[in-house]
Amino acid sequence: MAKNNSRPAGIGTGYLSLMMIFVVLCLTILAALSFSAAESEKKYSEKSAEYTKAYYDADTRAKQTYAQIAETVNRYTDYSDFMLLGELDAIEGVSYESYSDRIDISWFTPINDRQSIYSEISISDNGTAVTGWYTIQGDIPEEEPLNVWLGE
Amino acid sequence: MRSPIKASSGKGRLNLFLLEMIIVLLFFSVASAVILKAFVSADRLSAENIRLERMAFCAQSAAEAFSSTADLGETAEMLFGIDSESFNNAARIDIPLDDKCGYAYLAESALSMTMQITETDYDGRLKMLHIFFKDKDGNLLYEINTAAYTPERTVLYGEE
Amino acid sequence: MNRPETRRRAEVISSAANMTLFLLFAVCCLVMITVAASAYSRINENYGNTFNSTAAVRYITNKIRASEGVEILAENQLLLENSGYSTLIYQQGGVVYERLFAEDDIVVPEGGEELFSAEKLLLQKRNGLVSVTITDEDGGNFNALCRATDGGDGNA
Repeated sequence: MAKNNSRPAGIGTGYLSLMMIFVVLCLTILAALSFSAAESEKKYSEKSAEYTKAYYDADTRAKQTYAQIAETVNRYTDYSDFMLLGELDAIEGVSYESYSDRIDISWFTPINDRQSIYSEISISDNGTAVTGWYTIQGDIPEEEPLNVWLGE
Repeated sequence: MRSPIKASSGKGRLNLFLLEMIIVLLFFSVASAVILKAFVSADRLSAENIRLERMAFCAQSAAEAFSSTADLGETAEMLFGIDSESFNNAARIDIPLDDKCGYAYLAESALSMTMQITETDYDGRLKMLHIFFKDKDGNLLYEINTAAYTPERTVLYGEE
Repeated sequence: MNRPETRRRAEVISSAANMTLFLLFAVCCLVMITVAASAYSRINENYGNTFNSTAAVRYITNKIRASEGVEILAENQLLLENSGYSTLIYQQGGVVYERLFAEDDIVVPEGGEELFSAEKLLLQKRNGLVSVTITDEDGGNFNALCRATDGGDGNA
């Protein structure tokens, strides 16, 4: 015993390896967590960017339809002219209401499976006005307003 | 629990320790290099994601501004405060941007945003616009298409 | 005669050198773990902040696009009108809230549902476009323009 205690201190074999394994394991777990966080962030960013692209693709198609409608209507002076109404009927997805002094036209442009852009314009002798241009869920606008509690 | 600090039995034991130390250091440095690389790429990926978000917002803003003005110069002025007169009736504008998608005036640009009118129709009343972002090496990062239509006669809603 | 003592001294020095090497390695390991942990927390925090800010900007712009009328009541209060109801989006005490109101209700910016955390919400209307800016806790901001759907003229 006394002989052993008189020996100088050293590090036992294997402790270094154990320590290194532990540290490398810790670092690997942290790196994997960082990477998975960045990956999930990437998925979210890409989805958002794709939605923006899809929205503006649909918006572009809606504007092309707008241009086609406006240029067609501008060739006529009578908004009830059956030739005009026939031309409007030929444009896909367009519905209209014709009055003596103006014509109101609306159409839908799908963005994806769930959303569409609803566009509504009014053309009169004074000019053209966009009266509505908004996204809706699905193809058909909600007929009934949201059921808001009135406190009764 | 045994203490890692032990009584050494002599020269052989010391040599063994040194040998282990060398092996551990070698393995540790290789493993650290690989892990460090993983951290760097995770960090880069994170920065790229934020950049993609910013590009999408920038493209959205440009598309909306173009819809309202139908003019590239005015769109650039609305977005980045660049004098629109320098782009009089331009059909293409290249704007150097920094990492945060701000106008890189004099500073080194990290990417470039290009707005290009690709097609016009109905006597120029319908304009198709292609907006795209490229990095320094010319790699395409993000793009959208949009359009602007200005009818022949326009009137404010409610004043028809 | 001196040999055992010299050997003993050599062993003591060797052991001390070993200990120093071991300690150096331990410190190195600790530093590595600290750096890795801070890098991970930075990436994670980045993700949280980015997600919060971008989601808030996207949510508000999508809401604007889906509404029939837009009114900016204050720089941090936005009223979106739809047939039969309206939605107030406002920011207070580092949080963005949303509250629905019936058509005849008095619109007050309180009692809303918590949506996102945001240090600042800045809303501005210029040239028929609504500018939405969200500033996060780190001072980073995200901005997007969005067309007000009550638009006005015939441009689209």
